[in-house]
Amino acid sequence: MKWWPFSSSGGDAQPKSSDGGIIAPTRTDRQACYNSRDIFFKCLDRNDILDSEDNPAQTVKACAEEHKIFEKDCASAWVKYFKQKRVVDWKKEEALRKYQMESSRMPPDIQQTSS
Amino acid sequence: MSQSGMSSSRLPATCLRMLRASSDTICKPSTRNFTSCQFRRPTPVAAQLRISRNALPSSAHHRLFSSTIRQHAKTVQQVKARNESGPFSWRAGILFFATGAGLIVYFKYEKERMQRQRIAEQNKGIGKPLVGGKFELKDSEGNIFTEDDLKGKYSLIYFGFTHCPDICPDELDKMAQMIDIVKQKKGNILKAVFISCDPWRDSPEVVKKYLAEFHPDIVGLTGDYDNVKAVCKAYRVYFSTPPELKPGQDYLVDHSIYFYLMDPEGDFVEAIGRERTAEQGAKAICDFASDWKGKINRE
Repeated sequence: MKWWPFSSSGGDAQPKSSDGGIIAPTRTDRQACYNSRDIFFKCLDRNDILDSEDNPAQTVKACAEEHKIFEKDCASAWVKYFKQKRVVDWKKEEALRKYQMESSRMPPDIQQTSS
Repeated sequence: MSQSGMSSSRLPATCLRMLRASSDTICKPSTRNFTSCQFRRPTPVAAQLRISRNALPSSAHHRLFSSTIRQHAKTVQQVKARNESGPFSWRAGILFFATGAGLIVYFKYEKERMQRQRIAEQNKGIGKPLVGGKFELKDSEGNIFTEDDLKGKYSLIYFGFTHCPDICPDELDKMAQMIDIVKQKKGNILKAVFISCDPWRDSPEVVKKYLAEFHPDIVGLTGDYDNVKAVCKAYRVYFSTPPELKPGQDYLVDHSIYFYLMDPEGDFVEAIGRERTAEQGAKAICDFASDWKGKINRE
Protein backbone atom coordinates (compact mmCIF):
# COMPACT_ATOMS: atom_id res chain seq x y z
CA MET A 1 0.00 0.00 0.00
CA LYS A 2 1.37 3.33 -0.98
CA TRP A 3 1.29 6.09 1.61
CA TRP A 4 2.66 9.07 -0.27
CA PRO A 5 2.81 8.01 -3.88
CA PHE A 6 2.60 11.64 -5.01
CA SER A 7 5.73 12.79 -3.22
CA SER A 8 8.99 13.06 -5.07
CA SER A 9 10.70 10.29 -3.13
CA GLY A 10 8.01 7.77 -3.99
CA GLY A 11 8.34 4.22 -2.75
CA ASP A 12 6.34 2.42 -0.14
CA ALA A 13 7.53 4.20 3.01
CA GLN A 14 6.53 7.66 4.17
CA PRO A 15 9.27 10.13 3.19
CA LYS A 16 11.50 10.81 6.17
CA SER A 17 13.42 13.94 6.97
CA SER A 18 17.08 13.75 7.93
CA ASP A 19 16.25 14.31 11.62
CA GLY A 20 13.76 11.47 11.80
CA GLY A 21 10.51 13.30 11.10
CA ILE A 22 8.06 12.44 8.39
CA ILE A 23 7.82 15.05 5.65
CA ALA A 24 4.40 16.59 5.30
CA PRO A 25 2.60 17.10 2.01
CA THR A 26 3.45 20.41 0.36
CA ARG A 27 0.99 23.05 -0.79
CA THR A 28 1.03 21.51 -4.28
CA ASP A 29 0.39 18.05 -2.86
CA ARG A 30 -2.51 19.36 -0.81
CA GLN A 31 -4.03 21.10 -3.80
CA ALA A 32 -3.77 17.92 -5.90
CA CYS A 33 -5.53 16.02 -3.13
CA TYR A 34 -8.31 18.61 -2.83
CA ASN A 35 -8.88 18.54 -6.59
CA SER A 36 -9.16 14.77 -6.73
CA ARG A 37 -11.44 14.84 -3.71
CA ASP A 38 -13.75 17.37 -5.38
CA ILE A 39 -13.94 15.27 -8.56
CA PHE A 40 -14.76 12.16 -6.52
CA PHE A 41 -17.42 13.97 -4.47
CA LYS A 42 -19.05 15.36 -7.60
CA CYS A 43 -19.32 11.81 -8.89
CA LEU A 44 -20.93 10.76 -5.60
CA ASP A 45 -23.37 13.65 -5.90
CA ARG A 46 -24.31 12.58 -9.41
CA ASN A 47 -25.01 9.06 -8.18
CA ASP A 48 -26.81 10.13 -5.05
CA ILE A 49 -24.32 8.57 -2.68
CA LEU A 50 -23.73 10.43 0.57
CA ASP A 51 -21.60 8.07 2.61
CA SER A 52 -19.15 6.23 0.38
CA GLU A 53 -17.83 4.25 3.34
CA ASP A 54 -21.30 2.88 3.97
CA ASN A 55 -21.87 1.95 0.37
CA PRO A 56 -18.58 0.56 -0.92
CA ALA A 57 -20.16 -1.64 -3.58
CA GLN A 58 -22.19 1.21 -5.01
CA THR A 59 -19.22 3.56 -4.86
CA VAL A 60 -16.94 1.17 -6.70
CA LYS A 61 -19.63 0.60 -9.31
CA ALA A 62 -20.36 4.29 -9.90
CA CYS A 63 -17.09 6.11 -9.22
CA ALA A 64 -14.31 3.54 -9.35
CA GLU A 65 -11.92 5.67 -11.37
CA GLU A 66 -12.47 8.85 -9.34
CA HIS A 67 -12.07 6.91 -6.12
CA LYS A 68 -8.80 5.42 -7.27
CA ILE A 69 -7.37 8.85 -8.12
CA PHE A 70 -8.61 10.28 -4.83
CA GLU A 71 -6.84 7.52 -2.91
CA LYS A 72 -3.71 8.00 -4.98
CA ASP A 73 -3.50 11.75 -4.38
CA CYS A 74 -4.38 11.80 -0.68
CA ALA A 75 -2.95 10.04 2.37
CA SER A 76 -5.23 7.30 3.67
CA ALA A 77 -6.00 9.24 6.86
CA TRP A 78 -7.06 12.19 4.73
CA VAL A 79 -9.24 10.01 2.49
CA LYS A 80 -11.04 8.72 5.56
CA TYR A 81 -11.27 12.21 7.05
CA PHE A 82 -12.73 13.80 3.95
CA LYS A 83 -15.25 10.98 3.46
CA GLN A 84 -16.47 11.39 7.03
CA LYS A 85 -16.41 15.17 6.78
CA ARG A 86 -18.69 14.96 3.75
CA VAL A 87 -21.29 13.18 5.85
CA VAL A 88 -20.87 15.51 8.83
CA ASP A 89 -21.11 18.61 6.63
CA TRP A 90 -24.24 17.28 4.95
CA LYS A 91 -25.86 16.56 8.33
CA LYS A 92 -24.94 20.04 9.53
CA GLU A 93 -26.50 21.63 6.47
CA GLU A 94 -29.56 19.44 6.84
CA ALA A 95 -29.96 20.39 10.50
CA LEU A 96 -29.63 24.06 9.60
CA ARG A 97 -32.19 23.70 6.83
CA LYS A 98 -34.60 21.97 9.21
CA TYR A 99 -34.04 24.61 11.84
CA GLN A 100 -34.71 27.41 9.36
CA MET A 101 -37.87 25.68 8.13
CA GLU A 102 -39.11 25.21 11.66
CA SER A 103 -38.30 28.71 12.77
CA SER A 104 -40.12 30.13 9.75
CA ARG A 105 -43.35 28.40 10.76
CA MET A 106 -42.80 28.88 14.48
CA PRO A 107 -46.05 30.70 15.41
CA PRO A 108 -48.47 27.89 14.35
CA ASP A 109 -46.17 25.36 16.05
CA ILE A 110 -46.37 27.23 19.31
CA GLN A 111 -50.14 27.40 18.98
CA GLN A 112 -50.33 23.66 18.45
CA THR A 113 -48.24 22.80 21.47
CA SER A 114 -50.09 25.21 23.72
CA SER A 115 -53.61 24.03 22.78
CA MET B 1 -55.19 108.73 51.24
CA SER B 2 -57.28 106.99 53.90
CA GLN B 3 -59.71 109.79 53.61
CA SER B 4 -60.17 109.30 49.91
CA GLY B 5 -60.52 105.49 50.37
CA MET B 6 -63.30 105.82 52.90
CA SER B 7 -65.23 108.22 50.77
CA SER B 8 -64.80 106.32 47.50
CA SER B 9 -68.03 104.35 48.08
CA ARG B 10 -69.94 107.54 47.75
CA LEU B 11 -68.25 108.47 44.45
CA PRO B 12 -70.27 108.30 41.25
CA ALA B 13 -69.81 105.34 38.88
CA THR B 14 -67.96 107.37 36.26
CA CYS B 15 -65.34 108.30 38.77
CA LEU B 16 -64.95 104.69 39.93
CA ARG B 17 -64.42 103.56 36.34
CA MET B 18 -61.74 106.11 35.96
CA LEU B 19 -60.13 105.00 39.16
CA ARG B 20 -59.99 101.44 37.93
CA ALA B 21 -58.69 102.48 34.54
CA SER B 22 -55.85 104.53 35.85
CA SER B 23 -53.99 104.42 39.08
CA ASP B 24 -52.66 107.79 38.25
CA THR B 25 -56.01 109.43 38.81
CA ILE B 26 -57.25 110.40 42.20
CA CYS B 27 -60.68 111.62 43.28
CA LYS B 28 -61.12 114.00 46.06
CA PRO B 29 -64.41 114.47 47.85
CA SER B 30 -65.53 117.96 47.49
CA THR B 31 -68.23 119.73 49.47
CA ARG B 32 -69.27 121.78 46.53
CA ASN B 33 -69.20 119.27 43.70
CA PHE B 34 -69.38 115.51 44.22
CA THR B 35 -68.33 114.74 40.71
CA SER B 36 -65.14 116.65 40.79
CA CYS B 37 -62.35 114.33 39.91
CA GLN B 38 -59.00 115.51 39.04
CA PHE B 39 -56.11 113.82 37.34
CA ARG B 40 -53.16 113.35 39.52
CA ARG B 41 -49.86 114.45 38.19
CA PRO B 42 -47.75 111.50 37.12
CA THR B 43 -45.15 110.53 39.70
CA PRO B 44 -41.52 110.86 38.73
CA VAL B 45 -41.08 107.01 38.75
CA ALA B 46 -43.99 106.42 36.47
CA ALA B 47 -42.78 109.11 34.18
CA GLN B 48 -39.38 107.54 34.05
CA LEU B 49 -40.85 104.14 33.23
CA ARG B 50 -42.84 105.59 30.47
CA ILE B 51 -39.82 107.27 29.02
CA SER B 52 -37.70 104.17 29.17
CA ARG B 53 -40.45 102.09 27.60
CA ASN B 54 -40.68 104.48 24.77
CA ALA B 55 -36.93 104.53 24.44
CA LEU B 56 -36.44 100.72 24.39
CA PRO B 57 -36.99 99.85 20.75
CA SER B 58 -34.61 102.44 19.53
CA SER B 59 -31.91 101.82 22.06
CA ALA B 60 -29.20 99.29 21.28
CA HIS B 61 -27.66 99.49 24.72
CA HIS B 62 -30.53 98.37 26.94
CA ARG B 63 -31.11 94.71 26.11
CA LEU B 64 -32.83 92.42 28.52
CA PHE B 65 -30.97 89.07 28.14
CA SER B 66 -27.66 89.82 26.57
CA SER B 67 -24.91 92.08 27.68
CA THR B 68 -23.24 92.02 24.29
CA ILE B 69 -23.88 94.91 22.01
CA ARG B 70 -25.82 93.92 18.96
CA GLN B 71 -24.45 95.38 15.85
CA HIS B 72 -26.67 97.43 13.72
CA ALA B 73 -27.84 95.75 10.58
CA LYS B 74 -26.61 97.77 7.69
CA THR B 75 -28.85 96.51 4.92
CA VAL B 76 -32.37 95.27 4.59
CA GLN B 77 -31.09 91.81 3.61
CA GLN B 78 -29.18 91.58 6.83
CA VAL B 79 -32.21 92.46 8.86
CA LYS B 80 -34.29 89.95 6.94
CA ALA B 81 -31.69 87.22 7.40
CA ARG B 82 -31.48 87.96 11.09
CA ASN B 83 -35.20 87.83 11.55
CA GLU B 84 -35.58 84.60 9.57
CA SER B 85 -32.88 82.58 11.32
CA GLY B 86 -33.45 83.85 14.83
CA PRO B 87 -30.70 82.80 17.23
CA PHE B 88 -29.64 79.91 14.91
CA SER B 89 -27.11 80.20 12.18
CA TRP B 90 -25.21 77.84 9.92
CA ARG B 91 -22.14 78.23 12.03
CA ALA B 92 -24.01 77.34 15.21
CA GLY B 93 -25.61 74.34 13.49
CA ILE B 94 -22.34 72.98 12.18
CA LEU B 95 -20.71 73.42 15.57
CA PHE B 96 -23.61 71.63 17.23
CA PHE B 97 -23.48 68.62 14.94
CA ALA B 98 -19.70 68.44 14.87
CA THR B 99 -19.58 68.40 18.66
CA GLY B 100 -22.31 65.77 18.80
CA ALA B 101 -20.63 63.55 16.22
CA GLY B 102 -17.30 63.99 17.96
CA LEU B 103 -18.75 62.92 21.28
CA ILE B 104 -20.43 59.86 19.75
CA VAL B 105 -17.18 58.75 18.12
CA TYR B 106 -15.24 59.36 21.31
CA PHE B 107 -17.68 57.45 23.51
CA LYS B 108 -17.77 54.55 21.07
CA TYR B 109 -13.98 54.39 20.99
CA GLU B 110 -13.77 54.64 24.74
CA LYS B 111 -16.35 51.88 25.17
CA GLU B 112 -14.41 49.55 22.88
CA ARG B 113 -11.19 50.36 24.68
CA MET B 114 -12.77 49.60 28.06
CA GLN B 115 -14.06 46.31 26.70
CA ARG B 116 -10.60 45.33 25.50
CA GLN B 117 -9.10 46.39 28.78
CA ARG B 118 -11.57 44.18 30.60
CA ILE B 119 -10.72 41.19 28.41
CA ALA B 120 -7.00 41.80 28.85
CA GLU B 121 -7.25 42.22 32.61
CA GLN B 122 -9.64 39.35 33.05
CA ASN B 123 -7.00 36.95 31.88
CA LYS B 124 -4.13 38.59 33.68
CA GLY B 125 -4.89 36.46 36.67
CA ILE B 126 -3.25 36.36 40.03
CA GLY B 127 -1.16 33.26 40.62
CA LYS B 128 -1.26 30.47 38.09
CA PRO B 129 -2.34 31.58 34.62
CA LEU B 130 -5.42 29.93 33.15
CA VAL B 131 -3.90 29.61 29.71
CA GLY B 132 -0.20 29.40 29.06
CA GLY B 133 2.69 28.68 31.33
CA LYS B 134 6.05 27.02 31.29
CA PHE B 135 7.17 24.87 28.41
CA GLU B 136 10.34 23.70 26.77
CA LEU B 137 10.37 22.96 23.07
CA LYS B 138 12.76 23.09 20.14
CA ASP B 139 12.69 25.66 17.36
CA SER B 140 13.32 24.77 13.73
CA GLU B 141 17.09 25.04 14.20
CA GLY B 142 16.92 22.60 17.09
CA ASN B 143 17.53 25.27 19.78
CA ILE B 144 15.66 25.24 23.07
CA PHE B 145 12.67 27.59 23.11
CA THR B 146 10.81 28.32 26.35
CA GLU B 147 8.00 30.61 27.48
CA ASP B 148 10.63 33.29 28.23
CA ASP B 149 11.36 33.55 24.51
CA LEU B 150 7.79 34.69 23.95
CA LYS B 151 8.20 37.76 26.15
CA GLY B 152 8.91 41.26 24.86
CA LYS B 153 6.45 41.13 21.97
CA TYR B 154 2.88 40.13 21.52
CA SER B 155 2.78 36.51 20.48
CA LEU B 156 0.26 34.69 18.36
CA ILE B 157 0.36 30.97 18.99
CA TYR B 158 -1.23 28.29 16.87
CA PHE B 159 -1.31 24.59 17.63
CA GLY B 160 -1.43 22.21 14.73
CA PHE B 161 0.41 19.49 12.87
CA THR B 162 2.03 19.35 9.48
CA HIS B 163 -0.02 16.41 8.22
CA CYS B 164 -3.22 18.32 8.85
CA PRO B 165 -5.64 17.92 5.93
CA ASP B 166 -7.43 21.24 5.58
CA ILE B 167 -8.00 23.35 8.68
CA CYS B 168 -4.39 24.05 9.70
CA PRO B 169 -3.25 25.14 6.23
CA ASP B 170 -6.21 27.53 5.99
CA GLU B 171 -5.52 28.93 9.43
CA LEU B 172 -1.81 29.28 8.77
CA ASP B 173 -2.55 31.21 5.59
CA LYS B 174 -4.69 33.46 7.75
CA MET B 175 -1.86 33.76 10.27
CA ALA B 176 0.48 34.87 7.47
CA GLN B 177 -1.98 37.60 6.49
CA MET B 178 -2.34 38.72 10.11
CA ILE B 179 1.44 38.95 10.48
CA ASP B 180 1.65 41.21 7.43
CA ILE B 181 -1.22 43.46 8.47
CA VAL B 182 0.05 43.89 12.03
CA LYS B 183 3.58 44.54 10.79
CA GLN B 184 2.34 47.17 8.39
CA LYS B 185 0.21 48.93 10.99
CA LYS B 186 2.18 48.54 14.20
CA GLY B 187 5.69 47.54 13.21
CA ASN B 188 7.57 44.51 14.39
CA ILE B 189 5.61 43.83 17.57
CA LEU B 190 4.33 40.34 16.92
CA LYS B 191 5.95 36.94 17.20
CA ALA B 192 4.02 34.23 15.41
CA VAL B 193 4.51 30.74 16.76
CA PHE B 194 3.38 27.38 15.46
CA ILE B 195 3.48 24.57 18.00
CA SER B 196 3.21 21.05 16.68
CA CYS B 197 0.99 18.58 18.51
CA ASP B 198 2.43 15.70 16.54
CA PRO B 199 5.81 14.91 18.10
CA TRP B 200 6.21 11.62 16.23
CA ARG B 201 6.18 13.00 12.73
CA ASP B 202 7.00 16.67 13.16
CA SER B 203 10.73 17.03 13.65
CA PRO B 204 12.26 20.55 13.58
CA GLU B 205 13.25 20.04 9.96
CA VAL B 206 9.77 18.92 8.89
CA VAL B 207 8.18 21.89 10.67
CA LYS B 208 10.65 24.30 9.12
CA LYS B 209 9.98 23.00 5.62
CA TYR B 210 6.25 23.10 6.20
CA LEU B 211 6.12 26.65 7.55
CA ALA B 212 8.38 28.05 4.84
CA GLU B 213 5.37 27.76 2.52
CA PHE B 214 3.29 30.05 4.72
CA HIS B 215 5.41 32.87 6.15
CA PRO B 216 9.13 33.22 6.91
CA ASP B 217 8.36 34.90 10.26
CA ILE B 218 6.50 31.97 11.80
CA VAL B 219 8.57 30.22 14.44
CA GLY B 220 7.92 26.49 14.40
CA LEU B 221 8.22 24.58 17.65
CA THR B 222 8.18 20.90 18.35
CA GLY B 223 9.57 18.54 20.95
CA ASP B 224 9.42 15.07 22.35
CA TYR B 225 6.16 13.43 23.33
CA ASP B 226 6.16 14.56 26.98
CA ASN B 227 7.14 18.15 26.26
CA VAL B 228 4.50 18.54 23.56
CA LYS B 229 1.89 16.95 25.78
CA ALA B 230 2.84 19.38 28.58
CA VAL B 231 2.57 22.50 26.41
CA CYS B 232 -0.78 21.35 25.05
CA LYS B 233 -2.01 20.88 28.60
CA ALA B 234 -0.77 24.34 29.62
CA TYR B 235 -2.65 25.95 26.73
CA ARG B 236 -5.74 23.81 27.24
CA VAL B 237 -5.28 22.15 23.90
CA TYR B 238 -6.78 18.71 23.41
CA PHE B 239 -3.92 16.37 22.68
CA SER B 240 -4.72 13.13 20.93
CA THR B 241 -1.49 11.84 19.47
CA PRO B 242 -1.18 8.14 20.23
CA PRO B 243 1.55 7.50 22.83
CA GLU B 244 3.18 4.88 20.63
CA LEU B 245 3.46 4.84 16.91
CA LYS B 246 3.61 1.77 14.74
CA PRO B 247 5.90 2.18 11.76
CA GLY B 248 4.04 3.59 8.81
CA GLN B 249 0.93 4.40 10.83
CA ASP B 250 -1.08 7.22 9.37
CA TYR B 251 -3.27 9.24 11.67
CA LEU B 252 -4.78 12.64 12.28
CA VAL B 253 -4.41 14.74 15.42
CA ASP B 254 -7.32 16.53 17.00
CA HIS B 255 -6.30 19.91 18.17
CA SER B 256 -7.66 23.25 19.17
CA ILE B 257 -8.39 25.62 16.33
CA TYR B 258 -7.77 28.88 18.15
CA PHE B 259 -5.02 31.41 17.87
CA TYR B 260 -3.79 32.33 21.31
CA LEU B 261 -2.77 35.94 21.74
CA MET B 262 -0.28 36.55 24.55
CA ASP B 263 0.86 39.97 25.73
CA PRO B 264 4.54 41.05 25.98
CA GLU B 265 4.66 39.77 29.55
CA GLY B 266 3.64 36.32 28.39
CA ASP B 267 0.10 36.45 29.75
CA PHE B 268 -2.86 35.19 27.80
CA VAL B 269 -4.99 37.95 26.29
CA GLU B 270 -7.53 36.43 23.97
CA ALA B 271 -8.31 33.45 21.76
CA ILE B 272 -8.97 34.30 18.13
CA GLY B 273 -11.31 31.73 16.62
CA ARG B 274 -11.87 30.48 13.09
CA GLU B 275 -14.91 32.67 12.61
CA ARG B 276 -12.76 35.78 12.49
CA THR B 277 -11.16 36.83 9.24
CA ALA B 278 -7.49 37.74 9.00
CA GLU B 279 -8.45 41.43 8.99
CA GLN B 280 -10.59 41.09 12.10
CA GLY B 281 -7.90 39.10 13.90
CA ALA B 282 -5.21 41.60 12.94
CA LYS B 283 -7.40 44.47 14.09
CA ALA B 284 -7.87 42.83 17.48
CA ILE B 285 -4.11 42.42 17.85
CA CYS B 286 -3.40 46.01 16.78
CA ASP B 287 -6.03 47.35 19.19
CA PHE B 288 -4.65 45.41 22.13
CA ALA B 289 -1.16 46.57 21.22
CA SER B 290 -2.35 50.20 21.10
CA ASP B 291 -3.73 49.87 24.61
CA TRP B 292 -0.54 48.32 25.93
CA LYS B 293 1.22 50.70 28.29
CA GLY B 294 4.31 48.59 29.00
CA LYS B 295 7.38 47.99 26.89
CA ILE B 296 7.29 46.31 23.52
CA ASN B 297 10.39 45.05 21.77
CA ARG B 298 10.16 46.38 18.23
CA GLU B 299 13.42 44.98 16.89
